[in-house]
Amino acid sequence: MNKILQILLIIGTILFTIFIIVKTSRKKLNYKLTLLWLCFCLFIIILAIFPQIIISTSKILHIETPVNALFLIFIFLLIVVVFYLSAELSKIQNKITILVQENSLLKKKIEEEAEKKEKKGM
Amino acid sequence: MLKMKVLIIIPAYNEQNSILKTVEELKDTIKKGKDKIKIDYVIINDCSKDKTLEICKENNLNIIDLSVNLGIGGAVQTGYKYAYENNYDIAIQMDADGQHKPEYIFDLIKGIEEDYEMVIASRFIEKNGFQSTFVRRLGINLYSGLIKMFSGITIKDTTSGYRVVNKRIIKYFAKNYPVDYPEPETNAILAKSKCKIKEIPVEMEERKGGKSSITACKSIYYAGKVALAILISSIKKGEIDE
Repeated sequence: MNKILQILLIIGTILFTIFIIVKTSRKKLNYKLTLLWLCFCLFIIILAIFPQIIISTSKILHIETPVNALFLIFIFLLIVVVFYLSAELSKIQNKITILVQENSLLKKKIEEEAEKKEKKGM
Repeated sequence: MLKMKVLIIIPAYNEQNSILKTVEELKDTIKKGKDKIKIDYVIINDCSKDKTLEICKENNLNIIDLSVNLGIGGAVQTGYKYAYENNYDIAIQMDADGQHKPEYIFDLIKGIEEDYEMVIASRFIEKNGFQSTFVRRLGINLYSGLIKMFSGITIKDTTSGYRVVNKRIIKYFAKNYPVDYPEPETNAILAKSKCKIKEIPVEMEERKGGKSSITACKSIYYAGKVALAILISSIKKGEIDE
């Protein structure tokens, strides 16, 4: 990996880390996810500072250029993140369904009570 | 024997043309049997975009209005939750579009009195009336085959949305119900859990109004989804009793 790529990676990641922290402090991102992204950033910085990791990985996997190994690792990490997010999405969908159902049943109950009272009043 | 409480669940999404007629016919049928059994109905309005809600309110029909569109599964499940909370013994599921003739409800209830846990109104036993399109029949047979393979139980009309369940299944459905295209999936789960299931022959009609929720593109997705659900439910053991 050449020096320019290393420096770009480090600067980019540091900026991204600052962005994450600002978002978190404004409560636009939950701590659970902040932690996930900060680990992600830490991992990229480690790779940028110690390019030997990438170089030896590419040798083991017979990948011609180290930068391709870097892409491979990134894609793998991104797939993990996307899968995690889709699992979270399913969880939230289930929760919304339950909330809407409970809400509608409550609405129904209140209407019924109001009707009963009206009848009694008459 | 104590009088059983029966609830008829009618999910409705954009059914302004047929809902009133369906419910009127249903009310007439309920009146015929009112000495023997107490039957209530509830419409679940799944956030219809047309005048379904207004029509129901004007005519003072018993309706639960969902504030967000949940899809057929979420709507029907609301009905089962309502049945569970209000202590109904039997819940019947019926479409709002006029495909399901209300006269069969007594036959369905009789099945539950005979100690079956679920009774499905099936088009394919006597093969009278509307038999659905070729492609849908293909799908129905596929699910039927899958259920037979994994549970050993034969259910011919696996996609029939006209069915009745007893109290134990109401409780289960109130907690667990698939989001879309729920019938084949729930049939598979119940069959796998060794529930007593029976099919009775009925005639169905072509829908009077509204559109089928199943389009050509979706049907491929559903075929895959249902097959997957049946496979996964066959890995899990009987899950109905906690």
